[in-house]
Amino acid sequence: MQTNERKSPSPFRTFLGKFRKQRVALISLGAVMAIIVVGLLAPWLAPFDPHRPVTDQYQAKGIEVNQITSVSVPLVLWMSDGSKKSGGEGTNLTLHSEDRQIAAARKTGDGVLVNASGDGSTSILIATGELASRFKVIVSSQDDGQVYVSRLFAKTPQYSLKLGESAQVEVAAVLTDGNEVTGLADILAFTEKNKAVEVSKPVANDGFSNSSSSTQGGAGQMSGLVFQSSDSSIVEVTPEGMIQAVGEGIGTVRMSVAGVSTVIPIAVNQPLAAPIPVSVEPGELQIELINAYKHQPPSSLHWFGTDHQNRDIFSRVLLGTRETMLIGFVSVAIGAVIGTILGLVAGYYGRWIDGWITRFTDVLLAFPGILLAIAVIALLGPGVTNIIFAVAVFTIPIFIRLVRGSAMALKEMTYVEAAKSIGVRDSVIIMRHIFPGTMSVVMVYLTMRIGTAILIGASLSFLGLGGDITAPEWGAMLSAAKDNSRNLFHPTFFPGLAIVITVLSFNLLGDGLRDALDPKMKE
Amino acid sequence: MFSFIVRRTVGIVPMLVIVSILSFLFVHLTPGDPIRILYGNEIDASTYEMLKEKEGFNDPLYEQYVRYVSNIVLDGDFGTSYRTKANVSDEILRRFNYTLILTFASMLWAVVIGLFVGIISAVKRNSWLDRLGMVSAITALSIPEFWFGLMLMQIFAVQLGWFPTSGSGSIGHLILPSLTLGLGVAAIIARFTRSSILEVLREDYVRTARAKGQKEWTIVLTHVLRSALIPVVTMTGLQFGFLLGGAVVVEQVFSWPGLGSYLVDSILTRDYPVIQALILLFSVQFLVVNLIVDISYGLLNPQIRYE
Repeated sequence: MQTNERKSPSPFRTFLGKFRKQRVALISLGAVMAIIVVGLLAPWLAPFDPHRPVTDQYQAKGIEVNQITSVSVPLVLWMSDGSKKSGGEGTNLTLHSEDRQIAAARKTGDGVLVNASGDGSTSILIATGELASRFKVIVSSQDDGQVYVSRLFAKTPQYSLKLGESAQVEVAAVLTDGNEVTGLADILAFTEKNKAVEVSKPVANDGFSNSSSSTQGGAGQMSGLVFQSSDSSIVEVTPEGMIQAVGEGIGTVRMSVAGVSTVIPIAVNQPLAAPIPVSVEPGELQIELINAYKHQPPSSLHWFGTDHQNRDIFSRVLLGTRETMLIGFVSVAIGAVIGTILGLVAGYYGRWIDGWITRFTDVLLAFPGILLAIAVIALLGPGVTNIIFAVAVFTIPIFIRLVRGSAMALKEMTYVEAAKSIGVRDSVIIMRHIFPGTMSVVMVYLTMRIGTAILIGASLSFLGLGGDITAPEWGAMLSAAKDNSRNLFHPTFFPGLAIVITVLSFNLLGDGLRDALDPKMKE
Repeated sequence: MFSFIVRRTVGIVPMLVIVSILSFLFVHLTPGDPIRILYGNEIDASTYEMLKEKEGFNDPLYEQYVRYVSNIVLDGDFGTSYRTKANVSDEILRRFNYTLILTFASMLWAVVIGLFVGIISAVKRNSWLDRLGMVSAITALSIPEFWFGLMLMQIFAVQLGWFPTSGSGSIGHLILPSLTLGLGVAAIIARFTRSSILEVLREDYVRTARAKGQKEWTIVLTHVLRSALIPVVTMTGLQFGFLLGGAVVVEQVFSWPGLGSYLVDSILTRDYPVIQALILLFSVQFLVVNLIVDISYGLLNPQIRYE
């Protein structure tokens, strides 16, 4: 080893030298190593148990579900003189959720706390005294596109009228999408259009959940814009919003549409008293929440989000590495061993053995790749072991062909002839003189085939042929995501990305090995 | 030429026989008693024997094989589905067109995209465009079809709403599945076209054209492409088999009612006569396509005929 003698560099050294020069191949070698390490360490690396819903595991980790699922919305009370007050001071605040199975709200210090419990979107009505406003809640990005009236307000917040005088109330509405609608006619047009949407929307989740508040909800559906005078001896109001002072004193007119209402104080023949609250404004028109029980989007807690059974996708992808690697390595190893042996035998002995083996290879190659694997599964039945076997069967013919070719060339070498002439047994010649020569081809294709094997294996389990569809295996995860999370991006994206990165690493590594070993093999 | 065609056609006959024997044995190798499955478990022993005799299961295996093959060849009869008790051939005929349309549409995408990328990469070789094209190609080969399909569905059907998510019936339904299926073949065609053009670019006549001062684009499009495309055509033909296999997965993703989804459904419900028929059909299709490619290659390149 330590000699300073000059001799021709060993083929392994030249190979290493050439391989080192290929940056892409080196990077992919690193990636392959990293993937293997991750696969082996997955049970210790995974932040959550991949088989159970994460919500069951929060307690053990000291995480409160509420931290994830709630958002606090501040409230502002508009006074008739144009000043604002914090909404927490509003007395007897009542909150009503249109659909409590999606989200519910409760009162806190200076606002409301909204808590998500199911997917979808709904609205929450805040009422205090005569005033009512609402905001929209979207859970898990399941926006139904519905726009609600969030708040009504009068353009002139208060009126001082002389007896007998009349005025037209200018009314405007803020919608949950941030737009403002001004004027009676436009508001009416909007609510009409909205009603049509509401009617066409299938009525779901109605029934046992909230009978007490259904009257309020029913009132909310009252058609059109309604004006109501608190004291008709002071102020009279027409359905078109024309107010007329008919008696002395201070009265109010209440306007309401679709459950949302505001109040306008009207002083007749006397100055206005202390300002009164005229409108309640939620700090947000529309809030987005996460449903902690299903399909959480990616967050710092769950890097890849959670799936339809609320299992941590990141943990599942990590654990799936092991299963996927197992399918890739074991099947290719089986296929390569059988294929190499048959290829050596066919190439070395030639004649009728070669004829039969070649014919067998042709039959196997007559089926397009994945169909052969599917045929094997069809014969053996679904299951991971059978997937491994199926992928192995599909790997065999390629190795037979490759190894047979090089074995036939090596057989003609002088050293083989020499070994034969001194009576070395055939098995020894094959193992010691021919097999090492085929190693380089075998190694290159071994690497390239692992990528393909992983792809085929994942395809088979995607088709549901892997047996256990709840297993944390990338193909099976995608299959489940396709059936259960069709409208969501993250459950399908991450497991697939893992497959792409893994297969790409193996393919690039294979390309690099091939170029370093024998540039002639390049197509 | 005629003898070449005959030789090649006769050459696939042994393959057809082996494939048909394998698919014939399929129902015999798989678990479950066909009589019990077809007529129910509650039939008594004498009826069972009578039915077994009637269906011909008591005959020697080779007689059953001959009957199986002659039923297929003469009557196009593939037997009866365990699940629906209906004739398998009718269902296959109904679904065959769907798979054919999907395959051809995918091939169209593959050829258009593959040639485009391949030619640009060859003309602008070693530029960033070339590198981008080739990196995309190897990435495309590493992407599982079903995932690519799901991503396309997610972006163009769910988020943008441009196409329907699944099913069949219109051109819109066809676009995403065919694009998905065509991707892998497009990558193969791109790589192959590039190397084929680069090969031809080394020829003397290309040097002459360069010496005349012609532009690189003109050289490639008028002088090189004609001869460089011959192997590409052959290779493209061979990819049909690849597409047939891929169709199984892609049809499942987009609920496309073709033969592939029929095969998967049948495997999951253990409907062996259907599986048997489809595997035979797929292999025969594959053999026939390869034969056609072989013959067309012979037509294009006379050297092949006398090898």
